[in-house]
Amino acid sequence: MASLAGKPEDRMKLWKGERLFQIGFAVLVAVLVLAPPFLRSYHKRLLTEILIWGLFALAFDIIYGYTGMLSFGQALFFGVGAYGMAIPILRWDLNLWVALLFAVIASIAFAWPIGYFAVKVSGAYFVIITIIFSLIFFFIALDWRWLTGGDNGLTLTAPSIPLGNWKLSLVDPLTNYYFVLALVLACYLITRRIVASPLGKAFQAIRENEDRARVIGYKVERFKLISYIISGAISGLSGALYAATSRYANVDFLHWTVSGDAVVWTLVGGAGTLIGPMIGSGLLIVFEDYVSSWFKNYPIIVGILVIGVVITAPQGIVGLLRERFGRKER
Amino acid sequence: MKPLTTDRSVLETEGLTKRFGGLIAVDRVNFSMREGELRAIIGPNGAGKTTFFNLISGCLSPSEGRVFFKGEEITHLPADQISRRGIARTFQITSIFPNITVYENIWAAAQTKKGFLNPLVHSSRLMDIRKRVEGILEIVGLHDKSGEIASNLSHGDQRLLEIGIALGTDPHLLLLDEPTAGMSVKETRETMERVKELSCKLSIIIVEHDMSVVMELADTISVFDFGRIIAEGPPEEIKRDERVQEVYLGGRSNDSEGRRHSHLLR
Repeated sequence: MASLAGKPEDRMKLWKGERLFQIGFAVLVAVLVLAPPFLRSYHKRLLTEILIWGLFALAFDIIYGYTGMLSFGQALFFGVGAYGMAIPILRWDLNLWVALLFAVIASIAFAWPIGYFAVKVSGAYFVIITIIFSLIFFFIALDWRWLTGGDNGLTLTAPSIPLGNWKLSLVDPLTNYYFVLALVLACYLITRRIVASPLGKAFQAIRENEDRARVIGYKVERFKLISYIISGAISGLSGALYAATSRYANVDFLHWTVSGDAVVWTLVGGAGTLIGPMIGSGLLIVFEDYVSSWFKNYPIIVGILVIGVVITAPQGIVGLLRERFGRKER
Repeated sequence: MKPLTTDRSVLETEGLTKRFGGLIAVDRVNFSMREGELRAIIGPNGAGKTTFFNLISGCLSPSEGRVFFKGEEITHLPADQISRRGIARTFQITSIFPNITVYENIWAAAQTKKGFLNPLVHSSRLMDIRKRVEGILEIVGLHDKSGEIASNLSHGDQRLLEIGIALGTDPHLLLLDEPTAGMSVKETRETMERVKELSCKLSIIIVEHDMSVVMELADTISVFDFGRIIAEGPPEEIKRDERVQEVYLGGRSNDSEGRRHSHLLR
């Protein structure tokens, strides 16, 4: 957008930054599409998991990075999505697409009323209220064994995807991978559009200065609720994909540490950048996978690394790159 | 007090009162202003000027009394609704969106009147809003800084952006709360020129601490003291008014306040 930068050199920097981002993104997508057939089965699984957790981190970025609300309870929607996938397949024998839809609708059904109350408070109170809601449902899920299987969780047989006349089985790691990749990529592109849309601008205004946003005409609570629901729905989708891929749903998915993971990945990758949290989750999962193979107490090393990154680059890895190569227009 | 011209009235208050515990910040204020007017509100610190703005803009809810905007009652409406009806305000302490660009700051304000914010259209495609944002950048003179992050602007430019954000909402009535606070003499003069130009298109109320700033500008001046309007009239009349001189030059038993402000009345 030429009108965005006044000085020609600024415009040039902006244009270059944008171009670099596009090239980097194209390369990343090409690698994600072309490389997996050549990977070992273990690494296909790992990459699939990274994409799913990346989607979960992206959902967190909408609520935190774009709307400025530190929700510490996104695991709740991840868990609801996972059970929303597992229960229809296991109990009602529904097909994968219907189960996926059910999972997303179920997470919206949770996010809406919870968000309705949670957005009435801000700052630390919001953090606390989101933790409390997720804890309440964690203990309910633990208790309701008839529904959730309690500690044991629910185990599924690999679901198949009905596509017209033929069926693709998710037993094959490669099919599973491309299925996940397609959905994650679609979600990424849709959210990228949302954050650049008028709605996304409203989120950012609220993130930057809630009081001022209200005085220029935003019904702040309504937009916070919309952001919370979008984030919850995408978190639910990632949970559903995780259940389909790992073929189980467990109460642990609702645990607060899962919410914490999204926070850490987002801070490391760069809040408010969408791609940053996905990159952050990828890097940290690979790093953890590598370190855990030779060091039992690997969380210590991961923790030190995270602290290091957050201190040296408070805006995260992508935030740092953006500063270095010109700011991408959001 | 001026007779109320209800058919062309843009803002009216009836017995507007705000109490904070035992303190009465705004005390039974009957204020009225015609469409297109440039009104100045002056008065010493703590006279209730900013509280008065907070009551009109919905940032605070009045304890008593009513507010009418273009003949319709807006008392107790939330701030966002009042803004969408056409009252915009700036803040004495700069309140902008710090980590986004100047352009995006004004954009954020320019889109709020759209009833539905489409999540699937790219903002840059909305030509009507783009044009408005660019027009406002021109008015406040920040066009060559549109791509800068707002927090990197100088204090004076941030004050201008503050006005730009308010203009973004396309108001009928603009409330300026000490727009030149902390500005240099040159910046103050330029800003007042801009306010003068704006006053051709919309109704403006400007709160000023320093009377000389608004002397040539305002059609009418209202003087606040202890939450009340103690005088109202054209600038020349206000300058001669005894009660005003008392407030500014010190005729009170405790006149330290008055003496402190005597330099403001020239």
